[in-house]
Amino acid sequence: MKIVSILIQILGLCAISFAGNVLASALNIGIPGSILGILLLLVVIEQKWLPLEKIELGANFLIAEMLLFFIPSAIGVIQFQDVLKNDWAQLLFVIGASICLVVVFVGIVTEFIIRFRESRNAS
Amino acid sequence: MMLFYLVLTLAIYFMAKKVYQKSHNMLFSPLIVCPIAIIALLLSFHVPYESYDQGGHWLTLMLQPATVALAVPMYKYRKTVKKYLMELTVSVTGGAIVAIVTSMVIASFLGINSELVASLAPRSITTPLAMSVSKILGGNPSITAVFVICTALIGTIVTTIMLKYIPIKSPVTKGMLYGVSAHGTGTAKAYELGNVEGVIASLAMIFMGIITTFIAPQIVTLCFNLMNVYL
Repeated sequence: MKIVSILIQILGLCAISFAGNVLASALNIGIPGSILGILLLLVVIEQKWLPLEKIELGANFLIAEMLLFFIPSAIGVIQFQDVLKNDWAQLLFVIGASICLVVVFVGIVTEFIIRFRESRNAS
Repeated sequence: MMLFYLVLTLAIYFMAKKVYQKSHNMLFSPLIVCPIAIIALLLSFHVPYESYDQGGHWLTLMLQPATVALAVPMYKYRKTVKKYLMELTVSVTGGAIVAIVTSMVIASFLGINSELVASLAPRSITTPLAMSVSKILGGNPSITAVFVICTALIGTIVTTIMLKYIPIKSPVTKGMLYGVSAHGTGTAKAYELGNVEGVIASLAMIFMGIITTFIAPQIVTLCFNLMNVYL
C-alpha cells in the first residue's frame, strides 16, 4: 500500500510541477517553472489545502533518488564529444578552481556569522 | 527498446547504489558508475544518444517534480530556515556570486568561447533550474547539464577533502559548504555526516538555486561587459 501512495503522491508532484510551467509561460517574467512550482507547493501546504502527510512520502522518495534523474543528462556528454574534445581539461580546471574559491569564501563567511551570533548571545 | 534503456539505467543505478552504501567511496557513486557503464555500452554497440534518451528522458522529466518536492523540507524545517536565515541568505548569495564570477573569469582567461562561458555560469544549481538559466543567458542547456554533474562530483570531493584540513567543526558550516558547492550530490553526502548537516545542505541548495536564478542574468551581463573592457 505504501508504494501505491508514493506513486499517487509523485503524480501529485508532477501535476504541481506542470502547473508551475503553465504559470511560468503565462506570466513570462523569466522565473522558471520549477521555482513557481516550489512556491505553489509551499502555499498549498501552508494553507493546509493539502496536509504535509499527504505529499511527504512521495517528496522524500523523489529527493532521495535525485541522483537517478541526473544520469541521462550525464550520459548526454557523448553528444558533445566534438565541442568538448579540445577544452575538457580546461573546463574541469575551471570548475575545480571555482569550487575551491566558493568553498573557502562560503566557509569564512558562514563561520563569521555563526561566531558573531554566539558572541552576541554570550554577552 | 525505449523500455530497455529505462530498465537498464534503473538496474545499474540500484546496483551501484547498493555498492556505494556499503563502501561510501565517492568513486562508486551511482553518478559516476552509471554514466560510465552506460556510455561504454552505447559506444561499443554504436547506439546514438537519441535512441538511449527515448528511455532516459523519462528519468530527466522527473527532475522537475523532484525539485518542486524540495518545498517539503523547506516547509518542514521552516524553524531552521528562520534560525539560520542570515547564513542562508548572506553566505549563499556571496557563494552564488563567487561561483558565477570565478567560473566566467577563469574560463575566459583560458580562452574558452563565450557560449561555453555562459553555459558554465549556472553550473552550481540543480539541473532543471540550471538549464532554464542557461537558456536565458544564451548558453547551451544540454552542455550546462553536463557541467552541473561535473560540479556535483568535483564539489563533493573537494569539500570532503577540504573539510579534512580546515578546522571547521560547526555542522551548519559543513552543510552549507556541501549544499552550495555540490547541490544534490553534496546534500546526499551531508546527510551521511548527520541530520543537521543534511538539512542545512538541502536548504542551502534550494536557496542557491533560487538566488542564482534571480541574480545570474544581471551578473553574467556585467561580467561579459567588464571582461570585454579589461581582457
